[in-house]
Amino acid sequence: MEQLTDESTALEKLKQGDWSGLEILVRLHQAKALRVAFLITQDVAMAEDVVAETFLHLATHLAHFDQNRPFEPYLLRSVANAALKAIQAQKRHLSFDGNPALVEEIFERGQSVESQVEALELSRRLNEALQQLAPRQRLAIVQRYYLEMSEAEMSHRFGVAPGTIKYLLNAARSRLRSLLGSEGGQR
Amino acid sequence: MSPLTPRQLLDLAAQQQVEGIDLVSRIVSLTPTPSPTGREENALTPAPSPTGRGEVDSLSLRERARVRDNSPALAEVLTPDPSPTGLRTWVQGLRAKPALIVLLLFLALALISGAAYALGRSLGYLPGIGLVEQGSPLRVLAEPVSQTRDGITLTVREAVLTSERTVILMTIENLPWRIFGDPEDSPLCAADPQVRLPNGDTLTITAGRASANAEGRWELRWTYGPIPPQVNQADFLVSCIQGALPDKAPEDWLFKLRFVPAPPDLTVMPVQEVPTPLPATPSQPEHQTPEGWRLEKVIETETGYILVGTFHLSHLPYNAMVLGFSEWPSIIDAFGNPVPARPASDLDLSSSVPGEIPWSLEIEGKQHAWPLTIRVQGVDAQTTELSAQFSVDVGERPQPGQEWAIGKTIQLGEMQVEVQRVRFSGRGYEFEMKASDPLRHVELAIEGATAHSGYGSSDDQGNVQVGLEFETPPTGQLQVRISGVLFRLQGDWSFQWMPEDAQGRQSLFGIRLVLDKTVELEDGYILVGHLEWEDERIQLASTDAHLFATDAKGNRLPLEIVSFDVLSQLAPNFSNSRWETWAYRLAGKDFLPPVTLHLQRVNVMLTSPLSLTIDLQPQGFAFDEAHSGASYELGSIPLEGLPAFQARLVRVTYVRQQDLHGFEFTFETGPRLAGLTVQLTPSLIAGTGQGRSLIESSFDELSGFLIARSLTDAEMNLPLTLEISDLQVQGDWTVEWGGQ
Repeated sequence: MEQLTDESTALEKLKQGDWSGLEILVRLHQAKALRVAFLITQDVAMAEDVVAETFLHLATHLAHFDQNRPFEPYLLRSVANAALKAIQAQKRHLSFDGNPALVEEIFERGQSVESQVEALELSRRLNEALQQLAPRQRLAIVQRYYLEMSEAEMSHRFGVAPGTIKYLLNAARSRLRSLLGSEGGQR
Repeated sequence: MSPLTPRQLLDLAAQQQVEGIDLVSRIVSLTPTPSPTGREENALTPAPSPTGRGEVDSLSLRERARVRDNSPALAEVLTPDPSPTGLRTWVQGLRAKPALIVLLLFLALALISGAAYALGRSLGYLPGIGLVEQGSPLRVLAEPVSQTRDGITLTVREAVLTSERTVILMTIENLPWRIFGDPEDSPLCAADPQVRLPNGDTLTITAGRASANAEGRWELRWTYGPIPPQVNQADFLVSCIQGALPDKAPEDWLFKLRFVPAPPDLTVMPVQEVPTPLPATPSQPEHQTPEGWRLEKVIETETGYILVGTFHLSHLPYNAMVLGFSEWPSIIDAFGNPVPARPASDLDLSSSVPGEIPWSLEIEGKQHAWPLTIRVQGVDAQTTELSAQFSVDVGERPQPGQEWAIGKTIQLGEMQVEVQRVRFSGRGYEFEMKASDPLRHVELAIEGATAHSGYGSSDDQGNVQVGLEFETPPTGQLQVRISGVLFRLQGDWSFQWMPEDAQGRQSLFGIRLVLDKTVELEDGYILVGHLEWEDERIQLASTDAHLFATDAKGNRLPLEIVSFDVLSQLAPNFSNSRWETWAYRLAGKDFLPPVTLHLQRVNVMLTSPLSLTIDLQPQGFAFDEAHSGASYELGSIPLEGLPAFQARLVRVTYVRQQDLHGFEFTFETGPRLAGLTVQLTPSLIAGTGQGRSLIESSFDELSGFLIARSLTDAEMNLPLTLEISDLQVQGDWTVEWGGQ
């Protein structure tokens, strides 16, 4: 109840020009925003910058935000897009040979995880797999599995055909299997 | 261990990397900082300290620079903004939505009857519900009603029925955010839930509010008209979840509500009606509606206070009407520290008086340095009295994207707007303009053509954009009429407030600036007043020539102190029997009233000195040349008795200066303590010395410490006993004078 009131108050404050509302919003949403940003950028410092930038950007454009909608999806979607832009602006990420299907395979393994240690190991491998993906593919993974968007919604956001999204998510599944097999055949 | 979903795995992967990172201070450091005057400073400019010490947070500045360098978009955000607010205010938002303004006015008018009906009744306050009539029977929801469909849970959690309205609180849980569309998506669900009575009647909705937390749990609150006393059940129909895309979430939810008399232990907090308007401007004739702030209700909650009132200005230029505050009001305590406050979210405020702004402030905490000063320095006003016309020839076949440069400056009263260009969007025309302060926005119409929709925006740099869309866009020579003008009215409107029972229980906080008398001269005025206080710990408070005056626009007025010799000649009947009396001469009469006198520093003499004993013997200290300059770190000894000043003694240094010797005391203090004098009288050995001494204090701007020196030619004993009886206190005490 307190958080709900806080968010409503924060948004009202910001809309009225009172910057103190921003602090409340940051406290409420920074953890999840940082996770989204990191999943896409795979860079903690860049994730921090992206989140800070997004909060400030939204705060200055809040007049466009309908307060009757929940703020979090609006924020996380913005963070995801800003993260993609930030990583694309960095020229060092030129080529990626990763495969999104590897990520999906890790997700499948998550269904049968038996211990905390195994979960942590799986999450570490997930980060490694994400690092090998192209930024656009990471965004697709985060939107599909973390932000739980439908493929149709994603295609609308990307401005590409649904088939392209499917490709981003599912390409080269057979190659993935061989990759996993080379890692020791844990399945 | 239970299976991990992809989302949980991703969460875990990210959490390990970013857990514990706190961006609050970094982001807050990049926002404009409200100053004690209510103006905001640019994010890269260190905010002036209320003490004038000019502390600079170097780390914060480095952080700012780093973020700015890395982020072009941030650089845009950090671009110096000449306006007091870096954000579009809600009023500016409204400018873009003339229809919404109309709707709000309509709602205000629609509520006239209810507001009038409430007059004269004793009100109470129910947190989450708002104001209720004391004494009248209340009914509540018999039990929460909940439904879960497709994993989404809607719960009608609470309802309160009064003789005048029905308030319903609902929560929605597990709502996947993907059901919501973008703002540009349409159609989105916009239907309000309905309350349907057994006879088929539906209640009129008067207000609605929604918010969501980080876990996706929604809290919604709706206010409807009253349910007749004999009706104890109703259907609550949620046809769709507001904001959701069609077919994305279950629709047509039906809840059977049952109402019962409120339990006897339902706590309704009393609402104190404030009988007299604030501020009490001396020249204000009693029969007139007070200008500026009016405090009407005070509610003491468990955790703080809620102030409710209206803000009213009349006789505005161009017969304009006040629309709203240009900025969120600043609230500072007696010493200029910002006080956290927010609008009360459960009060449905409206005003039946055109040009009157209803407001509420929910003040957090009860232990403040009273009185609080609530101030606003700009209001937005709208007039339809100013109009102008210009023309543009767009030809008979304008093409989408086609632009026409106009470059025409239009005079609107004393204000100007430059119409820079017009662009054809295909559905209508977009006008780009540049407004000169204080003009903020204009409304446009094209002669002979009725726009079916319009939009607009304006920023704090004076850029104004207005779009008009038509079923069939007009072509050829367009006659464009400026039909409405919004502008900002600069001023300085403030009032002070403290809880009734706060007087005397705070340390030094009850000091008030009072204007007693004005004497008109040929070329100005003499203003005579005094300081008042209730705190028995204050022996005397004096102004010490720190008064200054501003006019209604906040401009400084020439003010000089008048000696009482001069005063007695100018005002022979005046008798001064109090030390705390002050007299100033205001030069000239050409100013915009009201005049506000500001006092920012008060000298206070305590009735009983504060005392502190330090024993330096364990450190091997002796009063000799060898120990001259020796410093002793004391940790942090609090100066008991004045907790609001947060004064702590951290270091003492032995000083020998010619034939004087003594100590330099280093205090860590809150920003409101500007100075103090330390006497070492109890430690002096009687009969030694010639009675010469040096007692002073000053701020060391580099370190931010308050340094007090107390030197004497007398001999001293250990332990050392300090006595502090004189303080210099900083704050912002004001009093208004009508100027006549």
